[in-house]
Amino acid sequence: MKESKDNQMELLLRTLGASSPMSVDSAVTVQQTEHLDADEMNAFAEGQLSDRTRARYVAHLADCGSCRSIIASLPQTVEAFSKTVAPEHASGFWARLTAFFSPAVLRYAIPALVLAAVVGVSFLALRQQRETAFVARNEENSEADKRNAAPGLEGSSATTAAPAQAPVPAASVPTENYADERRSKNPSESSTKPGPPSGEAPLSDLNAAPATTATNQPVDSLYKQAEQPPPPPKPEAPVIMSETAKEEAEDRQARRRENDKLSQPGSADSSRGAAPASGGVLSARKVQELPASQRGYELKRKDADEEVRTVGGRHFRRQGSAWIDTAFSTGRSTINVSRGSEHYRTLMGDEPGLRAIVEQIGGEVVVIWNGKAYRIR
Amino acid sequence: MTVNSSQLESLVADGAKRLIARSGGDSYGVNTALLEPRMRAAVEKYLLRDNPEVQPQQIASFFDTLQSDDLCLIVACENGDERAWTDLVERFSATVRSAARTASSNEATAEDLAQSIWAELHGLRVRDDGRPSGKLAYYSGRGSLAGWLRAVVAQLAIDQHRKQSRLVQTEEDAEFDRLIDHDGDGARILPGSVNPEVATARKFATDEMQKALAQSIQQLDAEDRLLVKLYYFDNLRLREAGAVLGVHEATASRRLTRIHTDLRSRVERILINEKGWTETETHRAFSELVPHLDTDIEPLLSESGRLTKRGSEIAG
Repeated sequence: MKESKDNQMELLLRTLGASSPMSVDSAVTVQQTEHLDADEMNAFAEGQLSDRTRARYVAHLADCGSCRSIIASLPQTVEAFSKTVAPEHASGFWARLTAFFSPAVLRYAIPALVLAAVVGVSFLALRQQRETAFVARNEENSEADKRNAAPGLEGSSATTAAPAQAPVPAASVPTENYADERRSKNPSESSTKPGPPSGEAPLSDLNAAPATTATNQPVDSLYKQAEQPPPPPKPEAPVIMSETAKEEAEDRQARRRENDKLSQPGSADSSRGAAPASGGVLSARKVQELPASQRGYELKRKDADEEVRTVGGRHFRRQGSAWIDTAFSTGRSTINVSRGSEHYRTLMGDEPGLRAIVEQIGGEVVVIWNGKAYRIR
Repeated sequence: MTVNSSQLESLVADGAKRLIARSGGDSYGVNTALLEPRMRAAVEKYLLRDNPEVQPQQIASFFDTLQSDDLCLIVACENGDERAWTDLVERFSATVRSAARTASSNEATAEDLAQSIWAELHGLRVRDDGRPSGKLAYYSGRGSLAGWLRAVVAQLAIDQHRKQSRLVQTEEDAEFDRLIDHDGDGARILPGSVNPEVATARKFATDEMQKALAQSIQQLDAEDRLLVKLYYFDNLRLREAGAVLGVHEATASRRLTRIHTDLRSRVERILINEKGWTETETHRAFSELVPHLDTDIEPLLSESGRLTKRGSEIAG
């Protein structure tokens, strides 16, 4: 519609222009003003006039065809335009801003901006896709952990949990993972355990002074609660093996999906007789348990050649000389148990599942068992 | 603060000294006494006339932008310096010849025109002081000497063409005035019209529209009016019309689009308020009459030897 209106005006103007052989001007106006001399025309054509003087000349030229025809015929009219503009017209912030957004600049700036936007969006989309894949795997991993933890708990409940003290169901086991604890700068901000003592060492300071129990209870009293006999190990083993096999399959899938650069997997579980899982992928699953704000950090840690292993359905990450259960969160209190101590022997007797893990992992190990964090060294 | 006359004289004297110092190798012995009247006239013509409140430093800057070499050369020529005349002809004969060729239809006319230029520059009349009076006195040094010479050639060409042409400016202006003020009773019956009554009615309506358009064009501000005149009446390309106004072709195109809208509303207002048309008649005239104008003006364009507009230069 607008275009047709423009065309109508175009035709009307062309008709008016064609109806007079020469330019149609107001004779009255021309007679009242002086024609421009050659010097003035040249100054106008070369852009050497002040704004006010130029406006006066423009007003005359708009009504004087002869002066207009001379001005238009001067080659310096075009030459001066193609060169730098007269200072009166080029100064000011708006002139510079206009020059910045001139077609000549936009001709190249717009495609460059579009390309940069496409690259940026693609990068973000790929990254999001990667994180989503990690989320999927980590969710599967956490489910596998829960399933593994439930039978473990059921098995160990006979040895550890007193009927009076209902065993902590797997579902209610707090998600004490790295991210939550690491995120809480204040160790006393333990989300699940009541009254964690202040001064709780963060995960990175496991070699520091041992922490007190989370519940502030004497260690021995924990084992006095275990009145039921330990469950037979056989039922556990199949569970462990099936979980491990499942994890291994998931590891292989994840490995195919990513270009994992993590370190070699940990030593194989002899009872399982299977190849150990890829620590990198497994830790990636753990990573997915983390909130989104921590995932990036964890992914970076995953990428940074960290050593991981899976034992007894638990995932352990090497930190210094210690193997840390990935379910362990910084700031959580640990129960310190020395290998060979009476406490150790009692604990191992009561918790064969724990014993299997601890005996496979030599040296210092931090493991979450029955909702408690044990630091065995 | 307005610059008084004594301040102006002081500024002119200082400016003349600086100009001579700026002129490269040869100032042809031109002294400040010869330059000062020229420079005073230039600052009054290009600065003080439109900017009475100009500051002293603006006047000083104005003098510093004058073309020192060219101005010294011209002043020396005007002073009768033969060496300066020789240099002028030697340096600018090619420029004059090129400009004459552009302004002329053939080589012979161009050669005559070029020769006339030098006579005009030197001047055939003699002033009271015995020196020839020519166009050299009109060069202020504001623009380049080569550009000034091209303007002089173009001006002389127009003058010569008018003397030889049967159509003169006043007649064309009168015709335009008639378009605006008078009712056209000499409506031309276009050839090929089957129904004379319909053709007459159409022509009458078209004339009314053109009068309203001419009136609307006169109401535009100077810049817009100049652009319309350059593009539609002088048949310049959009790029050339933009160059006269000192704007890019795209800017000129956008301005024309805006002017179309402005003119249309003005024309409609004139037709409705002054000519007594209804809105329906006005809109129908635009939609039904105007498209036929392309056919109607074809003979006119052929007669004038001008081609139709090359493509659509105006942004839609």
